[in-house]
Amino acid sequence: MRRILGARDVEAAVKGGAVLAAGGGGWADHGRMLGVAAVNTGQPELVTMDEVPDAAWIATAAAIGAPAGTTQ
Amino acid sequence: MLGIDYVKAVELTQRELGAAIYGLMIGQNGKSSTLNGWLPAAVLGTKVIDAVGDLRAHPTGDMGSLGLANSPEPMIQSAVGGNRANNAYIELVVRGATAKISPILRRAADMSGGFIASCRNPVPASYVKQHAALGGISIALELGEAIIRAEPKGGAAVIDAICKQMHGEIIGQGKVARKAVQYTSEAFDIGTVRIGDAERALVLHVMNEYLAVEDAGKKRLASYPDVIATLNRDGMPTSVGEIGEGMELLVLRISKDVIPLSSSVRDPSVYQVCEKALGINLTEYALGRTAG
Repeated sequence: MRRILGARDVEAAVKGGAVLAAGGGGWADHGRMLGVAAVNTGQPELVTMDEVPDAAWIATAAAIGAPAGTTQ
Repeated sequence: MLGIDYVKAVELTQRELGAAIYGLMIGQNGKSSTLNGWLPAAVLGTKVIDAVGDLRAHPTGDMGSLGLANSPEPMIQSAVGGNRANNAYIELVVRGATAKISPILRRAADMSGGFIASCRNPVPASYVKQHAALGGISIALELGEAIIRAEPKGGAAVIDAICKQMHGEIIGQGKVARKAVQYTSEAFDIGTVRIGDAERALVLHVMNEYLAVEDAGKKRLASYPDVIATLNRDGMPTSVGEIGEGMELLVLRISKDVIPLSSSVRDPSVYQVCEKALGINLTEYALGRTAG
């Protein structure tokens, strides 16, 4: 099922993600910033893999390092 | 780093690939990583793909890499960002075997002031369907939604909601008796957190994240890829970094048997570095028997 992600999803993603962080660090403020910017800029759409053609290109988005330039 | 750097990274990888990127997945869930694909989706129209390299966070890139970490196949990786105030903003695109080019991005993060956005390893969707933990974003969103709904009812309700939503259980609770976690030269936080005392004590083994929980008799109560988390009385997850001795915490376990697993989690080669660092067996539990 595909759907457009909205403002409420931002907080859900940060809170759900915090449990799945499994004790690791991470930056809730950075997550909120990305989510709020996204839902105010356009209409980010969540799609399940069964809706994606086999030949479509999928890449991985990641942040590398830590926001404050620390080792955390 | 700015949010727009995630967008630029996708553009660079797309240009090098010579084809449109349909969607973005993530390597692991986390407080911000769950949202890594959202801004490119809003700006470029790439999709937020409901699949993850690992439902939970993990210490090494290999653990969420869909088996690409050991692949000789050349991959494309881009990175954008850095500290603009120090004129340390950089952009780069590299191509090669993942094991060779991933360290370049890590080095780039250091050189640019510590924080960059990357877009890496474009693969056909058929590969993702076969290797990723499918539905990993929806699971995080539904968990978060359950937490938000329970919050007005207080901490106990939030903890119940987390357990119910994820089919998880609280395997122990108590005061943090001892935290012995060291930052090592390999850039990992490694050690243990002991919760409770005497025969009811739990020992949590930490390598950046929680990888295992044992009871006082060294019986394994939880083991990666189980989701292991510590919650305070308000139901707030606490990171190892936030934990201090004397804090009252509950230990949550969500068994690997009730979550989607990726192919990396079933790859024995990813466990060697963790087992060496922690001095405990992880492979046996990850590939075979269930803890608890």
